[in-house]
Amino acid sequence: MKFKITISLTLICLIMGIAVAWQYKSVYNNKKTVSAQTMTLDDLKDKLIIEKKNNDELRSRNAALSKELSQFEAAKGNIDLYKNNLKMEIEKANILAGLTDVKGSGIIITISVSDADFAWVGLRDILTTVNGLRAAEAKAVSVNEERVIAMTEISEIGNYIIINGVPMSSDKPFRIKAIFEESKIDDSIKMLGNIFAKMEEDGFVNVEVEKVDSIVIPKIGNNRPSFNFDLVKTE
Amino acid sequence: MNPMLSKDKKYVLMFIFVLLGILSTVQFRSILHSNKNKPSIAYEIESLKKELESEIAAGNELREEIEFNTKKKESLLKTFTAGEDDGQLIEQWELAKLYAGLTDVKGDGVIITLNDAEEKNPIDAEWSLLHDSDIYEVVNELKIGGAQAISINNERVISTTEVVCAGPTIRVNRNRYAVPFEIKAIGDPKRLYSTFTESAIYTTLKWLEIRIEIKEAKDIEIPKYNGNVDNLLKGLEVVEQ
Repeated sequence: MKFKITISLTLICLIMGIAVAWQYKSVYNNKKTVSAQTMTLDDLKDKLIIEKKNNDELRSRNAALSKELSQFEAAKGNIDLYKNNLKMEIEKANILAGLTDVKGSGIIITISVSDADFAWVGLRDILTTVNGLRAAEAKAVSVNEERVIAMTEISEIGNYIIINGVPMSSDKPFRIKAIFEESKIDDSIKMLGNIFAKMEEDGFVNVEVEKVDSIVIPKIGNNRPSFNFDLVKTE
Repeated sequence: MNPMLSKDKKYVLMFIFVLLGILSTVQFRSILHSNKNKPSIAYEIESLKKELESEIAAGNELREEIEFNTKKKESLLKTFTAGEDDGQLIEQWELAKLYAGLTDVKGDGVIITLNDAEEKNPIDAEWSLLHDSDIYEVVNELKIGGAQAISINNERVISTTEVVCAGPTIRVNRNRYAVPFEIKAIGDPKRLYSTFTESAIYTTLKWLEIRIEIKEAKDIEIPKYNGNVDNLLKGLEVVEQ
């Protein structure tokens, strides 16, 4: 009799154990699907916001273009209008290419080392700074008066950092200038702060940022190897 | 039957049934709960997906329209100024656009593809992922190798092009891209190839088992910059010489 009871109790407990385990698994799985769905949901919402913002920007760009075109239509025969417009387009492209000196509100960054015997300014410091400036929407950048253009390289040989083919001693401070839209300058400085803090932590360099109302950034110098187009063809 | 044993049995059974009761309550609640949530979330996801698709389609349509209007503007400008200054203005414009990255270009060079490592790095899972710095360092090596035009996933690299992490994606020219990345460069293919394969970043990425491939290629096509140039020039003033 006692034996029988023991057996039946064991059986009941076993079944209950399985049931409990099953239960937990099912509850856990339900939670998992729900959280996975919430994740895709958030992801989709983010994407939608970005896409909407992009489209707004595209719409206003297209509206500006259409307006320009209708002005062109209205001014048929007015050669001066076309000429001036063309000159403006040429100037815009030249600014973007880095072929003009430019002026605006901006910042001057000085990257230096306190003891040149033990530390130096590294290629990565300059590369990270330049990329960070671009991410913060800098409109024009120069490193030690060398304009950074599309194909500007940053390389390192011995104690020199080479930019646009021009060697610069990595023991001396680097002065990096950047022009920003005035209304965005403070946000940009804030964003750059994190990058510079990390650079100081990792590389024994000191980074100083100075906000300036008006700075001039020079155009690309003559015969720079980064300004060469002999191997590209246009249609 | 032993009366003591039968009393014990009663308690045990009671205990078991209490447990069972709790269990089935939890079970029902959980099922009810998930049934309540599932259809509404799935429904929301579906409608968001549809909305996203239509936004993307609208964006593509707008881009086409902008492309069309830009071409129209160019041809208008060209037609009406061709007789002026012996066509010098047009020539200047074509050159300026080439220098700024505002024309499609073609030429020989190299194509690099980059992707996360196939397996998670056992020391640090972060190491098996491609980062923004990897990409801009690769691009910098191509510039050192004398590249004359570069694109990242067909985003033309111009003077303002940033490469920066934005969550799981990487932002280039304000647009987001996920892996894999294709970087095209026009220049001297041999020089680009050797500069890149001898670089520190190539060795590092290979060591981390990041999937990286470089091949020389002929007649690579690199598209022009597609964003809004006016936005890139806000806040800049030309210094008259």
